[in-house]
Amino acid sequence: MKLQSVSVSIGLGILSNLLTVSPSLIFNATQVVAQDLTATCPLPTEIAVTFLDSKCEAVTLKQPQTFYRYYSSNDNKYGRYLTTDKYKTNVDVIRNLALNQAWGNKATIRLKVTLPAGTTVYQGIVAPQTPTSCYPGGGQQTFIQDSKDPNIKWSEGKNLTVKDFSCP
Amino acid sequence: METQTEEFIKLINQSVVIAEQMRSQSGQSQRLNNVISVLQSVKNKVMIGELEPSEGNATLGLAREVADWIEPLDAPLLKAVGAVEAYYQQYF
Repeated sequence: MKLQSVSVSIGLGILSNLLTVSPSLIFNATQVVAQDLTATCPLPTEIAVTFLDSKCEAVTLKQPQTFYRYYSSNDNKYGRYLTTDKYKTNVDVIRNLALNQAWGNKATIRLKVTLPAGTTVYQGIVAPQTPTSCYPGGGQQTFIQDSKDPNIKWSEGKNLTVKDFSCP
Repeated sequence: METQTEEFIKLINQSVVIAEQMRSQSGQSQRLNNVISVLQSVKNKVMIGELEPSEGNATLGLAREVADWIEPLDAPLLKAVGAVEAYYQQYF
């Protein structure tokens, strides 16, 4: 046990030095290490379940970072679920982010959402939703606890290519 | 009716009651109507044996929807639909 602990400490020390030398690598490097160290999600189970296999990683942003949110009306413009995935069509969004149409989000507009440094984000893969043939998930999912943080910048939306989506 | 189905319906009914209580108190009536509608749909499907198996990782989308907007984040409705999701993944 002691040897393992020492190894982890050394690894974290090396990582820390790498991050200092290469600030542009900060976000991705942190993600990789977090995935190696924790297999579960530090969110309540009712939120963790929205990630594939209830797995997510907590990452605190060292610098502002831009994510995307897909929406179709003011009712679903703002919220806690974001993604790093940039999609071209509504159908890709609906399937990969598992946006069940029963909830009303047709994902016709892409919004850029810039989170301030210091924000803790929870990242993982979108869990499939029933019917899974329509909503297989698999896209990148980012969850934030406070979508009403006044320091979050919600940019103007950009229209996506809209195709017919139907689910039996 | 199987015990698992009965327990599942009980959890759904509890969620419906909480959502109905919230509907009269919050400004999210449309979203709460959607939650109630989907809960009823899931209940109907399980009662006629047409609920798609979760195979341990599919969700019903209830927690994903509610966690997106509910305030505060530890609200009873999110806990309730989370319990529905957990039971679904474990037993269906």
